[in-house]
Amino acid sequence: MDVEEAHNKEKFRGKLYILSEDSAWQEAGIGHASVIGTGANRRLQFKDEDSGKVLHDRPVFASDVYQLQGEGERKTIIVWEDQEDQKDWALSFQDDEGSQAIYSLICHEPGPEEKRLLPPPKLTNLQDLARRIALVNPSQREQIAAEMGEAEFLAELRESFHSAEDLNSQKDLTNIFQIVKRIFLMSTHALTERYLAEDVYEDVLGMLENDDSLPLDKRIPHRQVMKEKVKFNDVVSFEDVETLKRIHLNYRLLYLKDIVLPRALDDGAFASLQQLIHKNLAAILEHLQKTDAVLTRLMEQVRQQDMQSLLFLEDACRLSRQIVPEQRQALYAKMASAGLFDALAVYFTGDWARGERNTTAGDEVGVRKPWEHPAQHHAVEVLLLHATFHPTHLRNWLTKEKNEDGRRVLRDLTHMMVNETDQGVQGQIAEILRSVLDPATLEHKEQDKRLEVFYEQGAMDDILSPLREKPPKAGSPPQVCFAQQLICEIVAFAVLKHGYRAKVYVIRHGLGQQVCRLLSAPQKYLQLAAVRVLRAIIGTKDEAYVRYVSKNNLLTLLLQSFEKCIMPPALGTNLMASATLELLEFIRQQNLKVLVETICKNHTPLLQRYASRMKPLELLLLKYQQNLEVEKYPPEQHASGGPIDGGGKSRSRRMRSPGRDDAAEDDSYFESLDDDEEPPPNGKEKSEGLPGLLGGYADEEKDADDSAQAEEGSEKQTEAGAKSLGHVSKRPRTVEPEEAEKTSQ
Amino acid sequence: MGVSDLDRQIEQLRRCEYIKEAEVKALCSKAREILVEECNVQRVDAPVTICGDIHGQFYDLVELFKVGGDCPDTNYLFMGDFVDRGFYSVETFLLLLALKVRYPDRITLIRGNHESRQITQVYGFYDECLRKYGSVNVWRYCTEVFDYLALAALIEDRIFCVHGGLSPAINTLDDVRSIDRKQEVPHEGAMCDLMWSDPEDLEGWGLSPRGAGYLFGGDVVKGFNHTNGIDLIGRAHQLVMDGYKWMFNEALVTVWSAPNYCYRCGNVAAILEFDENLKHSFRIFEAAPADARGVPSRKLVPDYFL
Repeated sequence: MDVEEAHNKEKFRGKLYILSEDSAWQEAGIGHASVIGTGANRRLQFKDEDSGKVLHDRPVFASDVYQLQGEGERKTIIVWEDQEDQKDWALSFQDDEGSQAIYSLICHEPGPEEKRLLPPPKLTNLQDLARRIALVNPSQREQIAAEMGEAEFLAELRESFHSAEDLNSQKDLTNIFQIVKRIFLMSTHALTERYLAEDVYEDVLGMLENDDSLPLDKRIPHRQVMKEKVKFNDVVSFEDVETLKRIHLNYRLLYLKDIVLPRALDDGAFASLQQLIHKNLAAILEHLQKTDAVLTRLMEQVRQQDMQSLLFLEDACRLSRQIVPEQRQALYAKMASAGLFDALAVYFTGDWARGERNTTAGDEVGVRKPWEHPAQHHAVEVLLLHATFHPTHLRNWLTKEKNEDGRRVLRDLTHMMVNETDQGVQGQIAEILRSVLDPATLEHKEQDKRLEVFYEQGAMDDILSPLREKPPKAGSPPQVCFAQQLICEIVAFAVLKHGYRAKVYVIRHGLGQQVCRLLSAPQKYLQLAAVRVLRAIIGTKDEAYVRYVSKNNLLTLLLQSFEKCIMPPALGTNLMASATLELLEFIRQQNLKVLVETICKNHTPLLQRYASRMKPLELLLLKYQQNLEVEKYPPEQHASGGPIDGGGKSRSRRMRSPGRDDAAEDDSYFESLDDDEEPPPNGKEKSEGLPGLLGGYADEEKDADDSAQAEEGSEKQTEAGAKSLGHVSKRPRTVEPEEAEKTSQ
Repeated sequence: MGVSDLDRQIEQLRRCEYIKEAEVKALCSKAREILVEECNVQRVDAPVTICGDIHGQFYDLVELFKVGGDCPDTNYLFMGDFVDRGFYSVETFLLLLALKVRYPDRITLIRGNHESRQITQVYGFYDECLRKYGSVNVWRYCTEVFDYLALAALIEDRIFCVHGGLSPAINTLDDVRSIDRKQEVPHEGAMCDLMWSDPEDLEGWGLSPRGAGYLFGGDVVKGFNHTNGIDLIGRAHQLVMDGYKWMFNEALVTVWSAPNYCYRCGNVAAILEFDENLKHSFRIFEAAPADARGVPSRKLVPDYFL
């Protein structure tokens, strides 16, 4: 018996007691205790120290049967009741080392010493460790992760890393890299966060510098990058240590995902990391939302035109795209009530509207850092994020009565959309305006109040005023041309969304004619923009619109430019021609008779010339012939065998039904709008004249409704459809089609 | 923007360096002028080499040009998905666009489902533009160009090329020609299907697991090819481990040009060459070796607030 064995034996020396019938403990022997067997077959044995005779040998019962007792810290006694014969037993050990060891053998299955799957990292076993971690059996995954998260493991790993660095042992460093890489591939949030925590991350990033899949000169010195290149911008004091810690931790997580391991991460690990980052981000933004003092201070700094604060705000708004809508809404609402828009108003001083801004600076810009972009552009981005996700706050602020700041910002935006040389910013502003104009997010009552600012108080006149100017020439500045396209998109949007209100406006102001002047612009994309406005107007299938288009020969202009696109030397069909063909197909399929007739009567040679090359033209001519025949021989006069045209029936009936005074009244109203002279060039005068005319329009709208009801089904649907667009949100599906791609690609 | 400027920009982009924001703006504006003149089904002459998804794997695109020959010495048709997922979407797309502007008749670009505002905001191109240029301007210039890209191409009236596949709303090539393509990729309808559909071993049409587009069977392909007098449909959109895959008795071929997709899928890539007589041959290539690849990570954001 060697010394160690002797010590072990001494450790388990104790006295065995049994509780007698009269509740007194009786000594049952002096000897050594042991646990034999494994798992469910374990037995607790006690042998006499002199004779070696087995004095006690019983199965090990459930762990809650045994209790460890003693005085203070020294728990040397184990007490239990035999679950089979209900006798009470006690084992009193010489020292607590023995009682603890036996107790844990009884209560834990199997004992922790045997259980460990990984040896603590040492320079001598790194390769073996790397191999074991690379080939983890899924059933052991959880346990391995737990072991690697233990303080001892982490300490030993760092120790080995320091030694390997001191020895400059590439082999060991590579093994350590493999081990740490695997740790992050385990996709266990707690483990990932532990290894990037404040106290250890430097070492861990150091371990990750030795990526052996890269040549030496392409490896990144992460520790140095973190220390020298990365900068945390401390803009507002969070006064909350936990949040601050989380912000730093989240940056390191991003760094790990994007810089350190982007090629090593599999889909699972990537998703897990992404999820962890989102979780942290949500917590950080929630803290921001719930801490009024921080938000108030931030807005004050933004108002003082502190660039870093503005960038912070932009970042917070941008990052909140990633959190759940309810939480984002809460944050945006808090920002709005903390004075976000008033603060941003200082970036719009009105000099765009006054034409005092130099607009040629943008042609030299290289690759800029965020703070090298004009502050105003960041302010626009913040407005856009608000407008995109929760437009109500911004809309209310812009259109609030007596809010001079709001009107000034709106005017400045309007002018920036036309004159800004950063076309990206022009596009952003157009998007802001569309979101603010989108009635999908407005109650019906609210709609009138808000849209009034645009349609009756001149904002729309401002936005659309460039359409009244001369159409762009070949050398016109690109921002001026692009603005025309954006404005056309706004007109098309209004036609689609604002039903009657837009109809009055478009016809009254001759917007269609103005837009169609672009059909002769040298820029094809502007011609295209005009086609899209016509498409929106005709897409309503509204009679007044249709008559308006026909009466003003808008399609003649279109077909003239169409012909230019398809006749030699032009080849094939360009985008402009495709858009025109699409529009003609729509007119044919919906059989908008007035338009079919207008086109086919006035452009027979053109259609015939290209009919063989372009099917839609041939079909349109055919439709016209069919319509004529139906007109001549209405199908109801034939029991059978009349010309076949289902689509035309209802319309032809309508055309022959006389005495429709209500409809005639409605028509004449729009005719009268259209007959008005060209709008006076001075926008102000016009907007003053407008309310008078539109004063009666609420009633007219009701009349229009009534008359629409008198009409047959298809017409009614059109009118109702145009109106309800204001309420039914036609948002894009929320399903992300790409999600499925992951599995299929 | 003169030819010499353009040549300089192409050289810069070939080295994976970014060009100035003002240059991107001018390039995109020029590209728009060229693309607006293209047909939805753009006619292409043989010989031509067709390529599938690239997904921002810039150094692998350089590899592709090594294998297939440089532009303009070789004519190319790229079938979409230039951006997202890889780390160099900006450089990849701008290089292809600069080549398009420089040699409009030598290279044809058609639109993939990733050439979309919505998708690029989720799969990386948006963030990459923001990181590299400090604002979303460049993303906006590029997405504006996406709207002008052709939807399909037709090689010598015999081979129809499209990013995804067929649509139940489309019977003839004329149907494709009368789509107003200048818009964000819609969530349904003919234009959406052209970019999202996949061929599958089934009869007729099936629901797509992607949530957009359809699955279409061999009979659909046979009918379409017969109606339109074509021999073959070339498409991309699906990862195939060997870089290409024939289906339906060689009536359809999938071509995939992003080797080791997402830097970890372990696949090889292919391009498909047609000579003047439309005889075809595949060229297979692997990912660029690490030492040619530069530091393979997304770009560092050195400043952070949150």
